[in-house]
Amino acid sequence: MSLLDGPRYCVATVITCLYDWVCGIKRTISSGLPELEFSHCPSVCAMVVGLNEGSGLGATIESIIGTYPRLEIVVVDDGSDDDMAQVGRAYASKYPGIVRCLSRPWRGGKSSALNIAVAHTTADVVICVDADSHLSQDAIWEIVQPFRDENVGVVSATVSVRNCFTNFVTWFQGLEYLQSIFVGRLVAARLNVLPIASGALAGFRRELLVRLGGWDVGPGEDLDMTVRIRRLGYRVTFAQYAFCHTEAPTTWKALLKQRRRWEGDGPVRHFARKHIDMAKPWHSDFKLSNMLMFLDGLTFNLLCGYGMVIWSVMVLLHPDLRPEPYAWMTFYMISVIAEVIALGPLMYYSRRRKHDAIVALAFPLMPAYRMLLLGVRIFSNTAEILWRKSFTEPHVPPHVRAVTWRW
Amino acid sequence: MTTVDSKSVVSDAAQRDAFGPVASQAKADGASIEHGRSKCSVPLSVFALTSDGHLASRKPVAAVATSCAEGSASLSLGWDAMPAYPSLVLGVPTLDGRTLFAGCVLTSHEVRDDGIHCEINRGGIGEIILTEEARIPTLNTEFFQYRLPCDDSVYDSWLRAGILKRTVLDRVLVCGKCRSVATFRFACRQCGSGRVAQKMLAHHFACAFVAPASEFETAETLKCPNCRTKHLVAGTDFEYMPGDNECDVCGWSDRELEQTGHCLNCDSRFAAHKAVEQELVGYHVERLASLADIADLGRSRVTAAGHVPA
Repeated sequence: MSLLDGPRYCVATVITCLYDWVCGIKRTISSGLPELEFSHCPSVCAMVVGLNEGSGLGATIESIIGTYPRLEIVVVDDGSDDDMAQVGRAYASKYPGIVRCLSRPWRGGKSSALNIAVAHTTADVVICVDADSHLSQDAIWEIVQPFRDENVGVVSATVSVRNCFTNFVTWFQGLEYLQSIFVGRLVAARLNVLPIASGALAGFRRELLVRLGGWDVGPGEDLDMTVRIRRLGYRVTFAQYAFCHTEAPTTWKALLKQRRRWEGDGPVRHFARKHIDMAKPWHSDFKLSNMLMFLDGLTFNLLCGYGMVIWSVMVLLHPDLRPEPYAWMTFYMISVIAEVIALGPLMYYSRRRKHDAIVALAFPLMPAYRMLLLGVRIFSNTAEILWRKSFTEPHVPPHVRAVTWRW
Repeated sequence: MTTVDSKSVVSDAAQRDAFGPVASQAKADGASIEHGRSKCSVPLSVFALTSDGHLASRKPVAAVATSCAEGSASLSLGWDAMPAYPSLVLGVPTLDGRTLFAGCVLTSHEVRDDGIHCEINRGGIGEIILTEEARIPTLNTEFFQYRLPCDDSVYDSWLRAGILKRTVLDRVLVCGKCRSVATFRFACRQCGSGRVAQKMLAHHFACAFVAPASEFETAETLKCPNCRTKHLVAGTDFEYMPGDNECDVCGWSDRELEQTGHCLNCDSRFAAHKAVEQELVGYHVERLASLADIADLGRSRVTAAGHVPA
């Protein structure tokens, strides 16, 4: 696994980084004048959807208000038991015409809550924001710029860990997010194989959401919507400096539970089942980039994991294949070296180098952390393949789970 | 016509100080009955009123009630204390420090050696102002404003003289422009009209599609416009949800209505938080139930001083 995924990541990020460095030098020599940073200003609706998020909602709205001129905020309370609706209404009264609060009396699921918000706006661009996340000052400006290109349908943003110095669990996640999202998605977007715009912060062209009938039932509705828009023929890009600071799980148990939920519905449910058509060359909406994305997702999320399992079983059954202890050390050292190499692009793109350098100090233990998450991924994928576990997730209310289609 | 009852004598120095030469006549405070009137000698204060109800002077003149009945009484005043106007307000002090007031009209007066003798009847403008109807604001149905029947200056003059006491009876929200009463209701945020209708949304569980309920309705059955599933059953397959409110007047549409005031007088509409809170001010007075009570008050003064009336 490490021998495949690590070099793939390192090579791709280093090449992208070198390319950007050379382009930056060329631009400086040729023009000398910096480009106008924010020149595109479509109307934007920030949709803050949540369940029992009353405690963090106020701070989230405060982080959005006043950061963009043509902005409306639609808060959807998905039948919360706490004071989320009251908080939302208080902000709607405080900022009339900017903030609107929609409250449903009982829970209907995140997808339908997002669809309610879409039905209440006419903005050009719709931005999803998690109710417990904080946006950076220019996040919305950064997200809307790629929509200048009419072929762009979705813009993904950087999700960063707000509490990365709480303990080792959050520290590892902090570095993981920086590598896999801040740099990893940049590379994926450049290669046009970016499959997801995180639900924590993502921008969508509203007309496409209306055309597609909105989000389908989750979990994994963010991945699903991104893929559906890709299949319409639109591009998915990445706004690297649109930051969304979110709270990461602080215990191993909470982290593993979160990852079990995230990993299960990706490659199996959506790629291998719901959107298998995009890998069929004879299908009407076939695109090479979509097939590459499909193969990338399936290979590195599914096949590599099972390859690891098969190899482990073989090692257990045939002692002759068992590597010597120094070989284990060698594997680990190679992984650590790959981590070190990956820090170069991270530091090149970083705008908070001091902060990110401290986060990066967790690199010697990252291979072990990734192995743990690989185990979770294998477990989740197996549960999805065998029992369609994602359809029993409490993330979706029971009355919706009971009638939705099981892909 | 001052009658002095020899059996009961008041030697109240403070009273003499307060009422001067007139008070010296108020020696007999017990009462006897003659021609249906109780004879007494009770010191009191007299305010003269102009024809529009204002007090002629903030300072009362001292007098002594010499006899009294249900609706009339006789007063004895000093030489220089003849009221300039016939309408009067009598202030009768009680033992517990209060003063009871009654409105009267001067019917006749006679100048004698010992002062001026007056006959008064209960009534006049003073009595009108002392009634509850004149002291408590009522809603004027022409302008929809809470008003008192007299000018504010009348009440101010009575207030300064200590006859009336100001009381806040209630608080009402009124129009900021004309101070008239308004009706309040949840209405359109844009034009303030109450003619708004709430649209219903439908949420199809299976595909999470949300749209106005009318889009789900076909001639034969309920059908999801997104996934085209037919024969939807409410509660099992989909749910109705409250949607936006739409104004029939201006076409505005929003989830939240605004509490809006509509002035009943000038027809202006305004957000409820822009309404003016107005205090409904009334006036309190302690009234003398009957002029005959003056004699009773005199008797109680004597009793309190240790004398037993005959």
